[in-house]
Amino acid sequence: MPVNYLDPSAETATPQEPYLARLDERCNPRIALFANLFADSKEFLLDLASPLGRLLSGSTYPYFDKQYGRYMSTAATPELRARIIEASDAVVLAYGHCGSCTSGVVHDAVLLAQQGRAVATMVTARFRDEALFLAQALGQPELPFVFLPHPVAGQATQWQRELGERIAPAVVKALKTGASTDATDVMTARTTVATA
Amino acid sequence: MTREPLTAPTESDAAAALAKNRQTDGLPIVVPTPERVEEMLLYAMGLPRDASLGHLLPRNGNLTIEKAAINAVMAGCAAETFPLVIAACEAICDPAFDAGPLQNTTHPVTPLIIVNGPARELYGVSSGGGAMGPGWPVNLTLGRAIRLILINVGGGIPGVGDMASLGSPSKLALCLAEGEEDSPFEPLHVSLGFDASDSVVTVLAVEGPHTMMFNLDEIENQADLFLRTLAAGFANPATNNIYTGVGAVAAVLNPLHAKILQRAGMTRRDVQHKLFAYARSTRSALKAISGANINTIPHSDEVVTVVQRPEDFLIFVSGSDGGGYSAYFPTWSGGKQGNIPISRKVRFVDGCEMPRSIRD
Repeated sequence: MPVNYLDPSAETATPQEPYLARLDERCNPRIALFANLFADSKEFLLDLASPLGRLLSGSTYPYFDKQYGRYMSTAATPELRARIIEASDAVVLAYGHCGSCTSGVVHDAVLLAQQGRAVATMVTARFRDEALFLAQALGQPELPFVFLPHPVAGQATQWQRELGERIAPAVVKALKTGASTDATDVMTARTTVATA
Repeated sequence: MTREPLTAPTESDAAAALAKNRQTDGLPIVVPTPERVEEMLLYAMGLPRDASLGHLLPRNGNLTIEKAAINAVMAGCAAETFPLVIAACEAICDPAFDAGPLQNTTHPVTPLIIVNGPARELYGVSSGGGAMGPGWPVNLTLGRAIRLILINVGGGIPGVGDMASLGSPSKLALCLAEGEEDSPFEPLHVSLGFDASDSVVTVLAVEGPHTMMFNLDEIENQADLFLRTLAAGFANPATNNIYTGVGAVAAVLNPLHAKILQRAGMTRRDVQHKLFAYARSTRSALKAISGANINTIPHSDEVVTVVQRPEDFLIFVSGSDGGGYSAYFPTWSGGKQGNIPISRKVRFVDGCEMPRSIRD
């Protein structure tokens, strides 16, 4: 005798929107670097400006962060978001590296994208599934990510700089085309990188 | 809106499908057949099945009365206890509960559910010996129903929406009643602004309980020593609270320990103020012990506190009086508010002053 039963799950009630923001690099783009202050995120982003600058001529890199690590799990305040919007044409966010900070960084990326800024959101491999789930839950399933190896925090400075060099093209691609990149294996040759 | 029922060849197959789809907590469930769900809905206080109790993050799922009932059936809740489930659902859907990042965090936090008022006895919510452990079906099924709802409506699937590094057995169920009759203080819900005659469910996202040992002897200043010991637990450098310093923390005192405080003439407010004075450290002391943890402190003062205000210590009484153990609950202390307690009245059927007893 077949058994009927009811579905305990609920779908997201958030309307799904296409991701439409794209970076126009013809006019000396201002690329905001937005660190959530998870360990090494600030340094990683500041170092990333150099390889990005070689790929985007005339670009500039205003820096923003959440002031204290305690705030990494929540979306930026409207005031901080407004300052970022005012100062930028696109935003690179780093990084989803834990559960709640991935929540915070994806929230930030969605809110910035909804205000017309192209975004590239970096998340480490361990939190990839969470980031994709959250992007859909927040109504932006096409949000572009650059997925990094895990961990990034705590790695040697030179290793992080090398990672930045290798993922910079993926960041530019995310900003210009809205495409995500899985760069989780990009440092498989990590043993060849000098450790500090 | 009710969807068409799913179909499986047998109940075992239905249970297996739910488990395969990651719609359970990993334990066997009661299959939510339409008939069982209908029985649960009889105790929905007349609320329509598609009435929304709120939206639950991170998925932002619409938590309807029906979804609550389906998950309550799966948890094994007695239908009569559904009003408790509804009250707890309303609490976790409050935006101030911050269910999104709470579910996402790698920190293994879970709702501690505390029941106060007449519903305790009428529904059989235990406040006695071992109340947070095995053997108390209403405590366990209520806690479990909320966990299933967090998974199925909120999207807290382990490894996707729930990123806890280790998880915690407390995530399966963490629920008890306050032993109001054993407490020298006014009931917890009264201290939170409710009437004593109200039945109230309070939730606070916490780590599992940490035991606090305090052996009684004849010395004079036991109350002060007790509170210093408890404060040291709260302020220990392995917990979040001493670094973030916001939100609330909780402690459940066993009746013997509560009597120490009573003999010293202390009210709950006195206890909270003493804990606030004692549960603190210094930036330099923490830095010497825990390195980079110090970077999460959102201010530059040398003295750091576990919470911002005395009333942020949520103190209640439960358990047996047969030992020297109470418990304290560190919390996540992240999110917008640093996670705070949320209380909701248990709503009864219109026209009824009291819920129906499951003992009838």
